[in-house]
Amino acid sequence: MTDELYENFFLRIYNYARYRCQSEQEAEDLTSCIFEKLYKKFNTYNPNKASLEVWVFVIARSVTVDFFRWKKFRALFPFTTVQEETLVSRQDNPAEKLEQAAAEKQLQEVLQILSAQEREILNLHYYQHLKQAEIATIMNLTQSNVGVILHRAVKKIKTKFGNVYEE
Amino acid sequence: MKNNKNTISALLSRGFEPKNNAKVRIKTVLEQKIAAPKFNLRTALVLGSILLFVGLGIYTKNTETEYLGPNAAYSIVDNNYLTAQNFGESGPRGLETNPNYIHFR
Repeated sequence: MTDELYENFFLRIYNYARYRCQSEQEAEDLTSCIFEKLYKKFNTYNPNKASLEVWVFVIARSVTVDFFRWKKFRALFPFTTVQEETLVSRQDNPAEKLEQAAAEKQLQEVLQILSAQEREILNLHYYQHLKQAEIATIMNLTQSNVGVILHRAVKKIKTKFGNVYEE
Repeated sequence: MKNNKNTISALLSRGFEPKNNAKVRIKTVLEQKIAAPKFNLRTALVLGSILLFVGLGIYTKNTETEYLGPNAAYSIVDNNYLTAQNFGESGPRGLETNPNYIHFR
């Protein structure tokens, strides 16, 4: 069952971590910590209380908070970009890889101007496709508060990158 | 006219792609972590602190001087404190005439 959990949630958890971390290595560490906790806590999951994905992200959030506290990072730590070299192999589709690398660079630039909370909410909304009510449960906020933060974050992106992106 | 702008939602929903076979690598690390005996730094620190405080407590208990109250007097001759109880309710005041005792107020 835990293998199934890993297969189903790896990419989602990795991205959740990647939205919060400065570098790939850090995101990988955090992903590993989150899955470690998920494996340990899996027998405590109660489907009557919440859906599996909400439960997973509640755990992920709690581990992330501990992770940053332990690493002496602040939640609003500036999201400075650490450029990783993108190796383009001839076997894998190089054009596709370059396109993905360019998109990731753009995404990093956008995330850089946002606070940790905004990044987290944007990830849960746009990448994880969770409803605002579910995000509110995970983040321990009210639904309207989530909506306001989401709106402000998008507005912030539009103000800064209005010439590149539209809503 | 064609709009060349990307949408914010498209950008944000695209996400990051794990590189260098991260999925397998993380799983291997995870399996090692679960298999390895767990050393919990936090538990070690808490236990260490408790032991330190208990040790300090025992050490202080063994070395501290008992407070005998405001009427206690120190005997130079006996090199010891004399308590009020030793000399009745009036305290060591009666000793003032005795040059062997220094009376602290």
